[in-house]
Amino acid sequence: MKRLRHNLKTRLGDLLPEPPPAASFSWREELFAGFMGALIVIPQGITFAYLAGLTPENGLMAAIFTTLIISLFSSTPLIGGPNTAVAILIGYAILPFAGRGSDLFFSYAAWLSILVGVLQLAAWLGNGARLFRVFSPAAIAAINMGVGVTIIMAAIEGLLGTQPLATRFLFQKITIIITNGGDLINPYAATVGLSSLLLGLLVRRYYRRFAILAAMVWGGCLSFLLLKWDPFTVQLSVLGHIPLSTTYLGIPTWTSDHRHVMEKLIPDAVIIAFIGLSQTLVIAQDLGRQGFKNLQLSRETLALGLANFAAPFLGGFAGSGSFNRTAMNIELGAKTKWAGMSSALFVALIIWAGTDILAFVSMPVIAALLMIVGISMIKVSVMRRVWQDRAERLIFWATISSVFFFGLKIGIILGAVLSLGFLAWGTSRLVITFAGPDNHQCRVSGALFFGNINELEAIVTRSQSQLQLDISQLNYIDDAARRALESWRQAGVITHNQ
Amino acid sequence: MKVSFSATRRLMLTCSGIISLIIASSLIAATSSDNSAQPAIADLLANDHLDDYYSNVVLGYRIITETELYATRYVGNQLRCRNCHLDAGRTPDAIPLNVAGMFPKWRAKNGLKNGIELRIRECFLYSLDGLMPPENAPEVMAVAAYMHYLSQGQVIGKPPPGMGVPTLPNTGQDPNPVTGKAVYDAKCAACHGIDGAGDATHSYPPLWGSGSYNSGAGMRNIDKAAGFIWANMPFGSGRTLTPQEAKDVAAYINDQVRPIDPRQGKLRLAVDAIYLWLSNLW
Repeated sequence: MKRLRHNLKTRLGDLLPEPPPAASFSWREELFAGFMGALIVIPQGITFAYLAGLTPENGLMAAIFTTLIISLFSSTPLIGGPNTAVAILIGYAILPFAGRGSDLFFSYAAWLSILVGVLQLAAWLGNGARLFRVFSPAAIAAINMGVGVTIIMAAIEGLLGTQPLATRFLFQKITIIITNGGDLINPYAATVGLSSLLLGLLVRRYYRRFAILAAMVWGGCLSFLLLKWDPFTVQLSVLGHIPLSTTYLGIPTWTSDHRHVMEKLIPDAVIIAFIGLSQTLVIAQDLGRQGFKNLQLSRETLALGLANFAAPFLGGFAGSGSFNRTAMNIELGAKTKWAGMSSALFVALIIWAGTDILAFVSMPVIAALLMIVGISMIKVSVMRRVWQDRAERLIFWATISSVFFFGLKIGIILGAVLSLGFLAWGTSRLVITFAGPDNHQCRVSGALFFGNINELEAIVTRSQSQLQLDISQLNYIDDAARRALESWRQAGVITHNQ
Repeated sequence: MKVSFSATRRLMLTCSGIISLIIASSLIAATSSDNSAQPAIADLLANDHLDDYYSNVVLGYRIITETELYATRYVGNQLRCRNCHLDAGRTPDAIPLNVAGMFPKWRAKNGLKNGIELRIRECFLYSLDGLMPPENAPEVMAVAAYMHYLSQGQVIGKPPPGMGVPTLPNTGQDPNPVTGKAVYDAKCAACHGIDGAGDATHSYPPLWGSGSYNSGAGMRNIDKAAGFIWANMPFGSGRTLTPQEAKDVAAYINDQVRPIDPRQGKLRLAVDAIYLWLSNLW
């Protein structure tokens, strides 16, 4: 009871937004990162809203409010908001119950997001973030790097202006483009995309922070000129005029049908809540590894739950932490949550003030920006460090290949299972050290249980004299082991301290 | 012996299976060609529980009727699709939209085999003077679904009755914008305004000026515009103008200032001029 009360007290402490540390951050860098984040979240929000079967307005509202709430309660410069995996899962979950574009679909999506938020808030109350602490740094590095490669692969179609290629295997896309490139590639889109990418990478070598801005300005101007030259010939996909209205604010409709449908959606909600939470906490732990000391996983859980719970009332939908936008945020020098909060405000400002300029932002440019972000997520130094330990090497390669071949969800689950497995393996090992004259003093440390009691038994039966066992260093002993020790003591084979 | 018996039996079974399949498919064909089998738009609008196809049909209908609300991203002027595709594309001789069976088709306008998506995207670029949506944009897919819905029961490749606009007979005279202005002021200006700017409620569309279709649109073709005007205008009392009057009005309307054809912008002209100069220099 006392523990519960203590637990609740710590949980409630999370509710107070933590002021960011005053030390060593510059407003200029935070705002710059926020602005660039806003530019990249607008196209992403619209795309992800379509993936979820919703409208661009919903995507923008999610880009504003989900991002804002997550950053407000987060303890790190983690950027949240609309997310691919979560959006796709929402779309798939609701499609059997309503057609895309219908009002019913919107209200089901809203209530599903609320349910996801409630589940994540429950995870926060139950301190569920503990579960995600088992991720080994190697698994987190592998997931991050795998996501980086996946982002690069996903941006290929946009960069070259081809139709979306439905491929099952990660590198199949490259084969298709190499063999049929002449027919598939739009030369104008490829010119815009590749030149922006090359410029961005070149600038990144010398002025790391301005790489994305340089690529965006160059690509934006080039695609504007091409569109003014002949929009029919160049066939560039553009963002279009983005509407922003307040009609989406309010409580989503609830009818008698909703109860039945929501009951059926509970398994989907559990999966979405888990995926969203695990992505967010993987990103947060990666930030922790990069030196953000005030990381608190329970705060991140609360932030995500609150954001997903509140988003539908504000016209948005459920999201999670974003790998690529967080990576970009850090790359641009953001150190506090002000970057994320200003990013949300910049989205609103850009849509309000710059909608006519934004209409001409073309997909090849956005793809080039995403590729630069994806490239920045692949870090050779991390790979080299992970290579030195055998267990970490195994976790890394197993996780990264499952991200490649089976997707992010399976990668996260496998990374968790492997981390947990190696953790259990490491802690359950029995270490036996001998001391004293003719080795009759024996210290046992680690865990002693039914699985390794026979190791000790072999030593006991082999020993000529009575063994003095020191079991004070054991961190775990199970019933089978306790009974074995007792029987040896009664047989006079060993003596042991308690 | 036994083997041959079972083989005969298998053959008979296969034959009867094929025959019943043929009968069933002809029955299905007979029922599906019945246009009244599918729900009316009013029923679809009133029904919340629609599958993905009919939801897209409804979205397509809404894009056609309230273009500025449901296809905001790509519209550049004050027109709605239904301003020309009267009654949301259900009026013959007013460019009806029940033509899904006519695509893909070759069009001289762009020298390409046009799928229905490309045709829809071109409407956004020229008639709506906006941005060309991507091929897989949800707006394009919804309009395509709506056109598919309207085309139920049509024969593929056979032009439905009243497709496009009627072709007016040769009157022996050129279209005359001066007489056209007189006709316009007398019969059209009451709704569309003397300045051709229409009204703000989207009921009477702007016919020229910045809010209207650009010079690349099909309506810019005087013959097509005249056919449309003769068959449908003044609204509610179509076929009251003479063919020559319709041609004159069309010439007057298309003589006015309107957004340029995006393929012929100043940049395009400059690039072409430089190219010509360079190639002469060679």
